[in-house]
Amino acid sequence: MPETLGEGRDLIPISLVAHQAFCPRRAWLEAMGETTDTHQVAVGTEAHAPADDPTGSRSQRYRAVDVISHDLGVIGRCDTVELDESAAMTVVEHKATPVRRRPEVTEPMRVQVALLSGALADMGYPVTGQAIYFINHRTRVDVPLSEEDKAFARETVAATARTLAAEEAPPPLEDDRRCSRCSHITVCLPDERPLAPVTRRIVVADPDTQVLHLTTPGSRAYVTRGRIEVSKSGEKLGTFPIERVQGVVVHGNVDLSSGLIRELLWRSLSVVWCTSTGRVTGWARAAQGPNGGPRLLQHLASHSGRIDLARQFVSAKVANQATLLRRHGDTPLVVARLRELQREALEAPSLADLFGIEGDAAARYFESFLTMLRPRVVAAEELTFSVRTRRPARDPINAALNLCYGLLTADALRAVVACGLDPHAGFLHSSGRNKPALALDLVEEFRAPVADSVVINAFNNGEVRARDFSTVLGSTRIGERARKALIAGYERRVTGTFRHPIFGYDVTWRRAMEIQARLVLGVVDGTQPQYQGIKVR
Amino acid sequence: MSLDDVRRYLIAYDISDDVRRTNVAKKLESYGDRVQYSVFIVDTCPAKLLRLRTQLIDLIDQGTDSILFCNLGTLRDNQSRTLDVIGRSRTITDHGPAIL
Ligand code: SF4
Repeated sequence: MPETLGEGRDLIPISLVAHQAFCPRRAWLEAMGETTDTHQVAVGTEAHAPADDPTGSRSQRYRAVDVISHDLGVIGRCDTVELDESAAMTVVEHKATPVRRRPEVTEPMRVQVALLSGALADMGYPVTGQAIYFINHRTRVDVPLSEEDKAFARETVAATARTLAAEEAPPPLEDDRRCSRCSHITVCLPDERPLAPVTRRIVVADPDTQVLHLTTPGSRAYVTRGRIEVSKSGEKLGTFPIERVQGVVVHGNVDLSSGLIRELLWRSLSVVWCTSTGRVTGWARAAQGPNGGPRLLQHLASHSGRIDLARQFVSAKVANQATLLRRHGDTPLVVARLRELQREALEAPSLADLFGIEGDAAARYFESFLTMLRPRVVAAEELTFSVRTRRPARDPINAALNLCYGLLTADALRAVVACGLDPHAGFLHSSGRNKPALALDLVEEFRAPVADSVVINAFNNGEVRARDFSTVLGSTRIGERARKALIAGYERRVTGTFRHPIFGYDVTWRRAMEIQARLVLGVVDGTQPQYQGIKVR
Repeated sequence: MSLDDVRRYLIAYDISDDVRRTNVAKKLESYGDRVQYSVFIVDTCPAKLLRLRTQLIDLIDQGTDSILFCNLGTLRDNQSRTLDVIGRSRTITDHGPAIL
């Protein structure tokens, strides 16, 4: 973000100018707070600790030198500045370029060192040169600058100012090689905008992290020696390395230490609290988040209504119910009717009509739900199910569904929060009743293929048995064993991949939720022409 | 995300100073699992390993201490074949569902 200093002029961070030189949209995303944690970014960040540099033995070098120039209008930081005998300075930037074969000085690098050394000179220091040190290649390349280079750097500062002052995000580049190398591709989604097949392989950050579920009633979780540790009555139940955590879901009566919550928030990880039956009671998120501007647009859009989005949520939901029923059940007539309703949803003139269609579809779908379970299992376990009963659940299947819908809501919340949207301002669900409306909107299209499918498989495979549930006064509760089995089944499902019906690439269900959230963001901020729900085939 | 991008590293250290050793052990515990007194298994994507390396460099005295990184290959290559323990073994954090 530009920083205003005394003279009323906005100074632009040099890093943003370098982003602008690469792609204006990247400068915008970065300014909106969309920090990505991809391989390249991590590599780039670490490159700034020049410990591997064989020239490190020199004593005449300063690290992390802050520079500022009111003339150039920039503020920044040099990785290292080297001094020669006469105290003349050379700016040396450290770059890690793991995906490049040759140490190549790019335009953004040129702009960056031009501004750094320009600012240093403005501060009155004698600057004799600039260089890039390529860590992966252990090669140092001097970067002499011409007058044109300096003029271009100045122009790029002005261009950055224009990008930042614009009302709307610059559109993504089309079919451009730069995107493959861009650290922001996973949040920018340049290829997904047209809602057509994508050929590029998308590498998403953090494949080695997991969502940690805390489920042991009466236990307490805290952080110690960099690990999340859970203990109960003085006995240690288990530990988990904190660097492997992507988010935490707390089920029922588990205490979190304030130290643990703080540590998670520092790391920008969110916590979702659920009751033991799967109702989401609340969440905690880091104070910092991206897209404050678009969030305002989201509230406006939510207030004025976006029936186009609502239609997509319902239509995709019904379509996916039909598909699940076709795959597992034995009621072709119901499937055919659901297909009709799915099409009707796309034309629904009002939210009230949409709710009518949704309710009609849900009644038919759940009437046939039991046909998706193996008859042998249904008979042996004496399972019954006729209608969806939320609170309280009347039977084991309803109780299992409640839990899995809660897990889904937790994931949708994380997806919504990750792209800076407000979970409360929705388009289908009413925002007026203090529910996380947008998260619930997003959940719709994932109910059948994720949650329902987990429940069906768990019963069919005998991972969950009727005796794992207890019914008291008409309300059914899940026992510990079944809860763990369902959570495990759910996690296997959301971390498993499927072929995305719109984009055609393999993607995990969890990532698919974030992509949908980002499409909503795009629709809201005007860079995404339309939203389309995921309809599995 | 794909587990194919995750590699398993065996990391061992030789550090004389108690304080530095404790700090290094703590840092490694936040990334992976201690399998012997000064031996850790860390499953991570290469970028995060780089971050860990940098953090460790800041903790040790490069003149006297040493930390050994051994790349055991992808997780897939590692499914129970690379590690074999006689006697008491310690568990390594699984990549399946994380439920405590
Ligand atoms: S992915 Fe492409 S369009 Fe998006 S910011 Fe990066 S270079 Fe620009």
